[in-house]
Amino acid sequence: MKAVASFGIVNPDTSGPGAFLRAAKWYWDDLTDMFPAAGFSSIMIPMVPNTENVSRNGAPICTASIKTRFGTPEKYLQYLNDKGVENIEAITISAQSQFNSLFETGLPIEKFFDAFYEHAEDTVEALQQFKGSTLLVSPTPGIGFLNQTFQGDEAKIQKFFDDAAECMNRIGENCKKNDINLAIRNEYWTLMRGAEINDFLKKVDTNLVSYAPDPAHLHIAGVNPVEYFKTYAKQAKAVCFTDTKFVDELDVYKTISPEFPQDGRLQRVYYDLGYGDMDFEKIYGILKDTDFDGPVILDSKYSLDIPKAILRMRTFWNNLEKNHAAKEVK
Amino acid sequence: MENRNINYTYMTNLWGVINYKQINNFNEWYMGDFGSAYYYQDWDKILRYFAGAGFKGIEIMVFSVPSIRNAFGSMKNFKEFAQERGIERITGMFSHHVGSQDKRNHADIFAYEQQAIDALAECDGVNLIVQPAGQYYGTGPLDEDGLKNVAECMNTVGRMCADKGLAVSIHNEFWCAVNKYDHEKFLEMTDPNYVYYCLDTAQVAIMGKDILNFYDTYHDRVQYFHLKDTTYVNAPDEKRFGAGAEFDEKGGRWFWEPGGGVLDFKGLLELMKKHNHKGWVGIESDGTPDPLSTILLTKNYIDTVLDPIYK
Repeated sequence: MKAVASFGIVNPDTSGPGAFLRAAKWYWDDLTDMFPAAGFSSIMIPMVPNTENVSRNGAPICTASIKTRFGTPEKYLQYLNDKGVENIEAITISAQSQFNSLFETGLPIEKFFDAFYEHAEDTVEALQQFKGSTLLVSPTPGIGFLNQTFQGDEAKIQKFFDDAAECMNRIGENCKKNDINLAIRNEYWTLMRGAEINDFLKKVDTNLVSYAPDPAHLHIAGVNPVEYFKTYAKQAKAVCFTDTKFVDELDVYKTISPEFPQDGRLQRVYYDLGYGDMDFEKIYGILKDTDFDGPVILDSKYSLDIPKAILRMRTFWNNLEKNHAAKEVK
Repeated sequence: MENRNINYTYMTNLWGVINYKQINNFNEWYMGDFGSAYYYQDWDKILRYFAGAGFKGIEIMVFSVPSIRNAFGSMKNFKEFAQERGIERITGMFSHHVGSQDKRNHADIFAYEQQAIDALAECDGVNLIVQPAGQYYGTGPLDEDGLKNVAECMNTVGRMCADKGLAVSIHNEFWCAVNKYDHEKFLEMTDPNYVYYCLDTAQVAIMGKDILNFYDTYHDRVQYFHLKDTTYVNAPDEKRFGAGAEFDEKGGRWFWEPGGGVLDFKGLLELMKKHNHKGWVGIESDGTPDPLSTILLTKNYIDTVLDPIYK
């Protein structure tokens, strides 16, 4: 297993002192140094589609912003190498961020999957140059957004689900051709949330498309993460570790603000790894038992204290390894 | 409200992207992290910070519209929520016309701007503040046709705004494809019946323009303002035309709250008094590392320096 630290620790779209400055290159220069300082030599970057507005960003948020700042992906990798990061093991793209870009691009929903495929194609090309192994893809936007777009028309939403599967197969073919693994994620607000992933996987070619389970998202969707890791560990090319204490008491997954619950006593979804309720020791044991040797994406998503969270992530991983080794001895 | 010629409105972009309407439980954001995140996550508190500091209006970014709709359901709900907290008006919205130098992009820009205009009208706004073209890097310099296309794009959006009872104004960033060498020429290429100018004092000064001279000359067109200060007047072309020039690579700060830099705001207020300017005057403080401090310093500067000249 290879611990891979996620840049998703930074929410680029948040508020507070300094939030605006997360788009500055100097911020990322500083932050990037912290990952190898905490012992991470491999990273995962979440990327959004290239639009004119984000391409001037100083954050490595899309391939266009990297090209604007560094010239080419190879030069960005050289920059990372100089800082002690060996490669970008994985990139995550999501249909939700593709959907969010529609406001700026004015693209009609009918062209959605063509645009998403192009986004994936562009990302795979960059991933090769970053010496990465895995493209992580979240295949559909949120249920709330789709309900709004299709005005609750179940047939249209089902077709979108089917089109998403077809798009994943296309992306999978491109990944295979370029020696990249495709692994899909099932966030709790998407059409393949929780148990729906089982149906989705029946619609895709599993020779091309794998599934990367994530305990927080499975838990919030109301299924047992441990059971899903047991079922899917063998086929996994990558897995994601996100922590949570969140319980979806008000069906926030159906809303157009699923990651930022607007009502109720619980509004914080993500916690730094080790600070939520997920049973990572058990999951780590399952992965060990199945000889999983792919990347484990450590995602202290949207941390409230980023430098501290990077160190916490190292402590979290050290403890997992240490405690598992102690159990083995017993 | 006190009887004033001008009222100040604050652009909210100094906070970043605000995702929550209202956070309900302090402990959820505090326990385990022991930081101050609770205070900066939601519109409820951020609106109250502005109102508490004495500002009656706010401006929003077009990029905020989706997240505001996600949180509030509609822009109208957002307006009412703000009013309940002492913000009397959502006065303006910032938008941009990236790609406007090429006529083939205009239809997409108009479709995009129609969404922005509808959103601003829904919250009873006043003024759509527009960056007229993309960044200089990769786009500039614009030739005659390019500049003409940018102007035509502004004119059309101006008419679209007028149809909804709004105004459109040019907001000329120092790193924009429309820049120092065609700044006034571009303004004159636009239709004075539909297109106004929002004088961002720092952006224009960094570009190398004398803000007092510019305002005195074009006061009929300058109906809106973004007051912000800078210590970096007349930046060289290579600084303004570089990739991602908006954010200095080394972290240098372009913008300061009024009074924090070297611009002559007393002189500007004297001119506003001379030209009998009336209406909302925007403050923008993008780039501050500490929004609350900046907001309070700005209000104190208004109270002690600007208001005694003209209010």
